[in-house]
Amino acid sequence: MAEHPSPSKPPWKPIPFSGAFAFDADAVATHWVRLHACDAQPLPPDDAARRAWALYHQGEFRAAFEAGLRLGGAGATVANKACCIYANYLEPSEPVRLALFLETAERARLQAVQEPLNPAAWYWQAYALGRYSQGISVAKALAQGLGQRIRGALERTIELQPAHADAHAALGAFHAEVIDKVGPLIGRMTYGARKDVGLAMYRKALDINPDSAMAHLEYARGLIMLEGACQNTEATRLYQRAAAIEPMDAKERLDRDLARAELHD
Amino acid sequence: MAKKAPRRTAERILEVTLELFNRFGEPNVSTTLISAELNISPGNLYYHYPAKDELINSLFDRYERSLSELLNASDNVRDVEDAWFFMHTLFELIWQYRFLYRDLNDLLSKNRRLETHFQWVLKNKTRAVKAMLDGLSRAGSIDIDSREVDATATSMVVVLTYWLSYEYVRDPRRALEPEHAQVALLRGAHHVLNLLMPYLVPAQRQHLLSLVTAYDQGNG
Repeated sequence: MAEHPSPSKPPWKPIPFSGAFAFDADAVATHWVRLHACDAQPLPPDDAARRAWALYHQGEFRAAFEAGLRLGGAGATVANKACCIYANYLEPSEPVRLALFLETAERARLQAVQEPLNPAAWYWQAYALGRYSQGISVAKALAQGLGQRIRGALERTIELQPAHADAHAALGAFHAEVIDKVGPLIGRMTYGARKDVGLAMYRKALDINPDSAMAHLEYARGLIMLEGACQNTEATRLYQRAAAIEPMDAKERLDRDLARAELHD
Repeated sequence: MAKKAPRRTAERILEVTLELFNRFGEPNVSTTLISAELNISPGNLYYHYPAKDELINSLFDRYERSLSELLNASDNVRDVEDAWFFMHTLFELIWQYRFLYRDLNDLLSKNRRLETHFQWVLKNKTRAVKAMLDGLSRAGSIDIDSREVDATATSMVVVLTYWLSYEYVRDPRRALEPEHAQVALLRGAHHVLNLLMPYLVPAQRQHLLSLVTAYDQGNG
């Protein structure tokens, strides 16, 4: 598995609402189904992994990441998720953020080699590469051939776990981003991106997990990309819905706060 | 909660980014600085603009749209007064997006969209300046051999495009600060139009000289 994080790496920024979510291994187990409505991740059988997840759900992303890495294969998913969520929501430096996504993509790729039937290995590979691609600009990423890898990993995730809500939202975002950046014709011919498929994916994500602030936010962004300003009213409705969701853990709170910032601005 | 149209955040991000780019130069502005200046979380910034390139592209698209509209007005130029007004408006637009010109080579080398579209910008400027020369010629304001039009138009576009770089080199610390806008723009418009001097009919030539003198005194 991947090496332990180097102590020379800069510390991670804390969440702005430290202490708002208290979880221990037991609480994580009790609320597992709701906490993982986003990804249908199975509850880990051992206590150490549950403790790592407790750190993640509290928003102690660095601690969760390190605990996950120490656990090896059993902690790979929590380490990758903690790293991606931190990078996406909290890391202020663009180069550090991109490096975190690349490192995660590589760890998840190795995880998928070890456990090809584990949907999380494919999903975090796709998520990390997808966010990395957005970060370097989607056009550049497509030119580097990342499009097929992201799409393939997301489709594999859904094949292995049809109830993976976040993978549906991410696949929706893939279709929307490709069409937005290269146009519907090239998008369809070269990358198989289609507006109707993209929109259907977002809706499916919301069907599976109607309380996902993230899926609402992504759908709003995708609608504007695919349909333009004529969808502003619908996007506002989605932001309002996302802003009203009661968050269950730190990551959900980050999404909810993002939606609120959108409406309050 | 107030019901508001979304994209207000996206809009505000663009406005503040343009200000920061213009002030410090695009290479010196990080996304960290942008989110700090706006007092929004990094996640919020990335949600709208996941890559700095997207901020650059969005700002460039706006510039390109405004420029196109403005350049289309070039064939209405009939005399030196119109030309002065046209050039001045053009320089004002360039000033609004001066970060593009301040670090042009750097931006071109790392951004594919700018690399391709800036060639279009140059062509469009040249086409517009030729239309202006044509208008001035038909109105009898200039007397120019058709074989000289291309070179004159190109020279005018070069001065137009690189004038702010010249101002910047002359005084890197202050030239591109807002308080220097007026004088920099007037100097630019003057030097572009000065290239018409050899071709202006006497009355128009006098008129250009008097415009320049009036503005020089105004900024003396």
